Amino acid sequence: MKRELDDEELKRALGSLRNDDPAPEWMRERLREILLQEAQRKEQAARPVRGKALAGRPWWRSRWVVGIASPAVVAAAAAILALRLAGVWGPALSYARILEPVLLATGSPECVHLVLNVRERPDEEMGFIVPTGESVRAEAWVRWPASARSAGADAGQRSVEPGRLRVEKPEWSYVADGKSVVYFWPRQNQALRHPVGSARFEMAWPAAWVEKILEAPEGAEVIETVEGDAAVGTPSRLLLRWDAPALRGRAPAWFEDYPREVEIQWDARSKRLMGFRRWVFVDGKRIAVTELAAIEYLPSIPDETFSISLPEGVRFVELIPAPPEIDALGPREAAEFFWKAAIAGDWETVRYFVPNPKLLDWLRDKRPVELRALGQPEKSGNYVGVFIPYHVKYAERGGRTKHRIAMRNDNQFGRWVVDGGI
Amino acid sequence: MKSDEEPIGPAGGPSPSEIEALLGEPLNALHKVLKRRGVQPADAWDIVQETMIFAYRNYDKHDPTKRLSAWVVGIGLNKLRDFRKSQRLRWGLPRLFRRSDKEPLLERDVKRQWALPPKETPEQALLSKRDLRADPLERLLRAEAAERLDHALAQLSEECANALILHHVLGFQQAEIAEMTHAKVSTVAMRIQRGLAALRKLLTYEDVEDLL
Repeated sequence: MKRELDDEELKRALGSLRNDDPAPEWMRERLREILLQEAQRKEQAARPVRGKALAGRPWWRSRWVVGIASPAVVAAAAAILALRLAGVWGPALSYARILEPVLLATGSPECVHLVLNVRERPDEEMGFIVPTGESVRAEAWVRWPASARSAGADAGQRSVEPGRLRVEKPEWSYVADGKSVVYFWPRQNQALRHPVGSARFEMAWPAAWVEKILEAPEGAEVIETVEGDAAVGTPSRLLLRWDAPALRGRAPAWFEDYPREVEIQWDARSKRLMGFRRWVFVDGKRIAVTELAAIEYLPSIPDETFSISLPEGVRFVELIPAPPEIDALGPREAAEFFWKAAIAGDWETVRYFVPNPKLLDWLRDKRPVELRALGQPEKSGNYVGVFIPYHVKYAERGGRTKHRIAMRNDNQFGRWVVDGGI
Repeated sequence: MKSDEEPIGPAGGPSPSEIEALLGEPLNALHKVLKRRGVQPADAWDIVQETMIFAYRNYDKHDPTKRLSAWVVGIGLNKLRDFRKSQRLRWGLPRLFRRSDKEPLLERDVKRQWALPPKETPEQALLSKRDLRADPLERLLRAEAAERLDHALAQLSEECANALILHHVLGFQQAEIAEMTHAKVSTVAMRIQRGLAALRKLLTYEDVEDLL
């Protein structure tokens, strides 16, 4: 007899399609070409006088220019195309072809254990770099999500075994045990629990690093390629460089915010990634921010590695339910509501906007007394939320802060909450 | 608003990084909606192009405090509605006035097929899958279950199917969907509830088991 579906199962089935069917790469390429053509058309339309020759014809359409230039242009275009096809020139074409087997080979093992030296804060999640800071050690164990067949009464029924991940930094632990994801800060005895689906495997799954480069070749410049020798055992190497994106006044914080270089080394025989280094350029100085110190590809890692026991009295960072009118506030309204509640000492209301107990304690200590100005929200870089400039006066020693509060609403309530910048 | 750090795009259009932003998550979301709504690849490609060009030309109208993907999908849904209307109109007209009489349908579709890329090689197809480790049998069963789900979605009203896809598949909030579809939040919530109830009648647990 057929079983009826309940709402939760149906929602899960729909939700499982979330990662299916991303737009194919050819579509992205074609659209990029179309939009760039559109940009050129706009540019030409906006340049009415300067491009005209005396005869009233644009200079680039003058028969002299066309007559002289066209054979040269055709020859140059043919040469460029030939070079690109030969893989000699054109980073997107040539290095994608080099990296594809590396991606396949690096993604094939079940588990990986690795050690990274990273120039990051010891208590912050991976990726938020501090080029002027000390290097810290991060150790990670990963078991990639795999399909498995369950035994017993449900024999034959397929189930997907969620992946496992553990990342340890000196003052931060991140554990995905297949049921949930736990962030733990031992110094503050503070923890955060997220659903298992939010596990960020890309932090420590080497194939994801390669895939990320393959997925975003735009603007990449190939600095060096070295082909290894399988007989001698020398690794192959690829070094790429990117320029910094526009940050609109925000200080760079993530690796992708800087002009940067990435080097990948792989074993010439197995094609597996064996080395990974990243640098950023600050004031013309090349600073190493990530170095893979050790890596081992393993057939399995015991379950105990992916469990964490939290100490007594641990405080959880969590959003408490709020009245619907709070959830419905826009980012600027939410920031204003938050500051006014903090100034009035209404800590219950402040808690709706501040999930982090440590930040709440800090606010209670400093005690804001006056909101002097609040600007308009703006997006910047890859940040999921918005930044809002503000000017607040604090009670303690008459201190004042002019800064940009970071607000995000990618939580279960869709509420704009404070993410930083205080 | 543009900063001093980045060269402003031609004639005040989006900058290169903003074009890349359009081609990231918004394009993926739009592609997923069209795929789930059963739009044929050649038509989907037309709608995607029209949407992206419209979004490019009107980029300054996007409210930066709102998600770019929500704005782009909203435009895409309007284009999809226009497309469906044009289809109804084309097939509803007497044969004499059909556009296909001037330009044979077959020829037109062949022309459009030329706009599509050549089929992927097996290696490219393998590489284009995000989950490189998925078992081929599992992929097939999942694809079949997704097809059954799509088939059931196609039997719902346009509004209910769109609301379900936008909320449960793409993860947009009800308020965002309300804005995209020019409806009240309560209407969106009701469409989602009705859509779920209708899908429950059309599908059994076994139909979608491979997606769970």
